[in-house]
Amino acid sequence: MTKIILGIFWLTFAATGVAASDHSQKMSWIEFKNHFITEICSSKPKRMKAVLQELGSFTVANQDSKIIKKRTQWATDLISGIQTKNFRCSKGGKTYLKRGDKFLNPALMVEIKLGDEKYKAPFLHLPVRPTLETILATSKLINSFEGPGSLDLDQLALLEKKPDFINTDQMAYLLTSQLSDSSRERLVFVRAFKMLKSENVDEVSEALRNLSNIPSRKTLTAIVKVRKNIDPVKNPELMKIADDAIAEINLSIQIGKAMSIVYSGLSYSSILFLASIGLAIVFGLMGVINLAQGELIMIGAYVTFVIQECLAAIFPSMLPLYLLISIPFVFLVTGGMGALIEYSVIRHLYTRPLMTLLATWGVSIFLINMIRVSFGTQNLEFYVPDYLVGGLSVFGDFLITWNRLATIIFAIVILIFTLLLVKKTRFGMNVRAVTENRAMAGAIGVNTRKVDLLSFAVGSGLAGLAGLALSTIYNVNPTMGTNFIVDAFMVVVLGGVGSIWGTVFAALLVGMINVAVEPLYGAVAAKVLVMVLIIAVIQVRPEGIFTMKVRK
Amino acid sequence: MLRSSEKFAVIFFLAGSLLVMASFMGIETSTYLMNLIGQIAAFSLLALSLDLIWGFCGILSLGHGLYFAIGGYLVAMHLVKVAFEKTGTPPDFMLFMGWEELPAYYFGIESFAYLLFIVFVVTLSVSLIFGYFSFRSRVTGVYFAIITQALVYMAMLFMFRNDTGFGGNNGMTGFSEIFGLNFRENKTATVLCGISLAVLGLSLLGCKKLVDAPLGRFMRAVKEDESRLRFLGFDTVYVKLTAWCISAILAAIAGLLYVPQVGIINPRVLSPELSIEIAVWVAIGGRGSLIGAIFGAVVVSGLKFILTGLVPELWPFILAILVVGIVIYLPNGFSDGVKVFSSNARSLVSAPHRKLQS
Repeated sequence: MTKIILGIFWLTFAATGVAASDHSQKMSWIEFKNHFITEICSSKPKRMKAVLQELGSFTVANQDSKIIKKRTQWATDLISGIQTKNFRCSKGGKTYLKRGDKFLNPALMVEIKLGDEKYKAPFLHLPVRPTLETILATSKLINSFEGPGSLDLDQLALLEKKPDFINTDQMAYLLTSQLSDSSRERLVFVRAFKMLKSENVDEVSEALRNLSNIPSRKTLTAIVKVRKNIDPVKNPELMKIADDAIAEINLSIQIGKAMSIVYSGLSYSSILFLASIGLAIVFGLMGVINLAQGELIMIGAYVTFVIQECLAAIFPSMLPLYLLISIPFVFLVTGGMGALIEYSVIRHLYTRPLMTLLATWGVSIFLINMIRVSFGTQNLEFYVPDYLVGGLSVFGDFLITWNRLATIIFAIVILIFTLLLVKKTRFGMNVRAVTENRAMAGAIGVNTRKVDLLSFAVGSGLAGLAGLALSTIYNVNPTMGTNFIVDAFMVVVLGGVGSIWGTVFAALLVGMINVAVEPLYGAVAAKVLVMVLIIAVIQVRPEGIFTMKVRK
Repeated sequence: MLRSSEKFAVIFFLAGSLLVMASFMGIETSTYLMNLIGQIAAFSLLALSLDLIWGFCGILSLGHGLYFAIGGYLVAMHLVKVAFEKTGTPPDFMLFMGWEELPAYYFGIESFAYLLFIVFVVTLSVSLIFGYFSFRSRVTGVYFAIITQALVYMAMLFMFRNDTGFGGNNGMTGFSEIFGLNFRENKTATVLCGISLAVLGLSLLGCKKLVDAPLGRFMRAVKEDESRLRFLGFDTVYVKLTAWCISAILAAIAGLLYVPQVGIINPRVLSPELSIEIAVWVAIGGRGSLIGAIFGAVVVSGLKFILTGLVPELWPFILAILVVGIVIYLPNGFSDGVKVFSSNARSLVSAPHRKLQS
């Protein structure tokens, strides 16, 4: 920040001092206007470009802000006239600017009568256009500026596209005004980009210092390019500044990268949590692992897809809300399916937990093939509503994408919901009682059968919600469940039986390890690390990190 | 049931030896049929290995494909190296990675004796390390099953990588000969099939002897009530570890027999599905019965061969219904099914509700 402020002091100096040495400065404003008109009428691209830059500098070369406004107003009018071909010159050197149906003298802006000479609009060669546009945009910016927050962002965006053609004096003047932080940063950035290419060593070093505050890949490539042209013998100091800037930006990019790894780790953890919370509760309760959990996730995503298609066919206006509308449907369908699995299969196998593994595997291949036959094997295409597209750029290349943020928030909401359900309701109390001691809970009147059925249904419903949450982020196809199931197992084993906080912790751990290690050493290394961690943990705590104290 | 195991072992061994002899006498056989029988024999051996620990020791592994793949990959390395030395055409993965020669760990593998030695060493060390740390911390039941599954899944991801020198995604293929026999000859398939059957017979006999020996009694005791055994002062870790390692080596031998017969190995043998399928064979055939496990492998993989050809769409559904149905209604697989036809039908009705150790 201090660097920027220092820069501004330097800029004010530049605006008055450096620009004053320009030869056009010796002219008066009216002389310059005539000079400008003649040069434009020449239709020579080089001369036009030069005089446009001179105009930019001249408009701000005064202490009085009123005069500056007047001059930029004139520049805006005239350049717009040139662009719209309302400004025309004759061969004899006469000119006019057409406004409405009146013809004006362009220098004085007073009405004139035209002779019978032939007038032609000066031809705008392609190389002139960007300069013309940026000077116009900057003039408009200065002209329309009335205080913080009044900056014309459309014009600013135009400048950002063509930083090479801006007028540094105009930019310097703009930066002396009271700007909001974000627009100031953008202006400094635009100006620094231009100054990087300057012949003046001071300007380049100034630009480098400013740019190093704005870390992004774009600035890095620009600086690296400039650094190549620096002569290390002639300008050792500049070289050092460039190196420092590169180092600083690299560091910032690394930090941004780390932040985005943490962020996508969080979102993956959220999905893992949703996928495994049901497993963990049911495992704690019945000692049973549902190998069809992955397929319930898949079914959740397919139900979401069906709801989306139905909405698109019946109420297209409701389509953007389909994710919210799907929530109850997904929960009910997958929960009902879970209840069905419990009632028809698992109920018979309580005393044989290992057989449940095989039976639920049978269920899982049944479900996969059912979906495969009815929907095909291709990836589903989900409509991504506008509010989930894009994100907020935070630091360096780190972007908070809305779809991942929505997943994280959704997982937190579900976590709160589950905690309330288990800790505050009668049903939750029964679940905890049966988990601790099934026989005793049954003896004092808890209907353990009903508790089993309901908690299996809730666990399955939560898995279905995981499918909903990942539908806009990951590929959805019949075999997607198998990608999540092994990670979900690891979460359950690591977190501990039937512990919600254990599941949260383990999901975070496994998710983070996966996302952090995968891009560096591949998916295998991430899995190996988790596996080693699990084997290490079960040496000390065979039932996971967080275990309920249960008397056996 | 148990006594018949020995009978079957002798039949398998004799059938295998006859086939080998027949092939050397120049009798032509159907290559397809020989391959089919040989593959099913390898699967049966795999089922036998799982039955040894699950049926007799109560440890369910959902990752036995790992040991199968160790045997399979090592024999594939042997065959690839032999083919490379004989024909001079490098295997696909070398071309793909732009390698001039095979990686260093292929050293010596062209010798068959060394191959057997290295299969033994690798399988034993993997099973010993994993088994020791798991059994020591008393990981059992469902926990152990899902950890083994995670392990095999991890191994699959590793083998999918292309830079490991094991063929990556496409696996290893293009074998030319095995102990001097060219794969194009009819004789080779017959010999391999015969060897597979003979090895299956020998392993069955060995397993029978093992489960009847004192160690086998210990294994069953562990299955019935491990904590009581521990309370009585026995160290169950070593009982389980021994059974586990023997089982792993049998699975590796199955892989060793399987790969030359199909002519290819790829990471899909490490998919969790295959490993669960092994457990399904055993469950369907009947845990705790050696011949039952073989029966399950033969029936299910035979059905799979036939039905995936006839009705490929329907096979998964049939398998699913078969698995769920048998698991629920025939807790001991077809061993119970046999009882249906005997006078004991009454005991079956209450079977699902009986307290059973699995």
